[in-house]
Amino acid sequence: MTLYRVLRTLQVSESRTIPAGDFLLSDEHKQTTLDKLEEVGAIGILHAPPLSELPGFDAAEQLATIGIVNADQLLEMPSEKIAERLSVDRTTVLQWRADVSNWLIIPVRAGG
Amino acid sequence: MPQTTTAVNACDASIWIDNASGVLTDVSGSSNTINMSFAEQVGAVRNFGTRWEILLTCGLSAKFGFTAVYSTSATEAKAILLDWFFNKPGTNKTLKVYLPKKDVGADVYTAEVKLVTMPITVQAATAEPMQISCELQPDGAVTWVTNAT
Repeated sequence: MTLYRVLRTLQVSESRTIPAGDFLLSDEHKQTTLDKLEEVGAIGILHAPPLSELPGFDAAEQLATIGIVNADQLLEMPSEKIAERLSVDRTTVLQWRADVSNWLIIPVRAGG
Repeated sequence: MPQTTTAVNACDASIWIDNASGVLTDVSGSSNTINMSFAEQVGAVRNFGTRWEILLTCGLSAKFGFTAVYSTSATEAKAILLDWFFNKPGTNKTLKVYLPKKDVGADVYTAEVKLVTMPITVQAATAEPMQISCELQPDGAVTWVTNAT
């Protein structure tokens, strides 16, 4: 799975947009769509940071024990599987994902 | 300077506007012009000791020139415009313009617009279809996004 940074706001349906600064997971879209969006400069590959680099994220060591060291790995692996392998509650895993997702999103500037 | 290989024309542009029921409707087949004019408000000031002005910017604005072919179908652009002016004056409609066509990667301009003018030119000495070239003005922001579907 590849992470993409949304560089220009995307219209994904008549009523839903993904704002610039957000990110996409490659498995949620067709490869031809991703290729075209990358070609027109609307998205770019996002190199996910190591979890240990995220300030205040204290689960990095725990996740590393099952081979999850980067943000994209955390977002890719099913939450049930992570919870089972680390013997933690699934809601804890979902919270880790939410925390990491928030780190990956660049807030849109005011007035933009 | 390398020449562009990605230039496109407007032949397949896709224009959508709310119909009488408020449903976005493709009117590309019954319209042939959409002129989009964007402007930024600029204020200038020149102080003592220099000949050159400095500029400040503030508001953004836009206008759309939209031309519909005078057709007789109740679901096409002309019918939507007439219904808008005569039956629902003052209301907003959503306008979407897909360039160069409604496809992945297209630029999508979206605005809530009001109908400002709607001149209808009727001439006996021409064989071309009548047209309605109206002016639409956005009520609020115009957005520019990339189509991902």
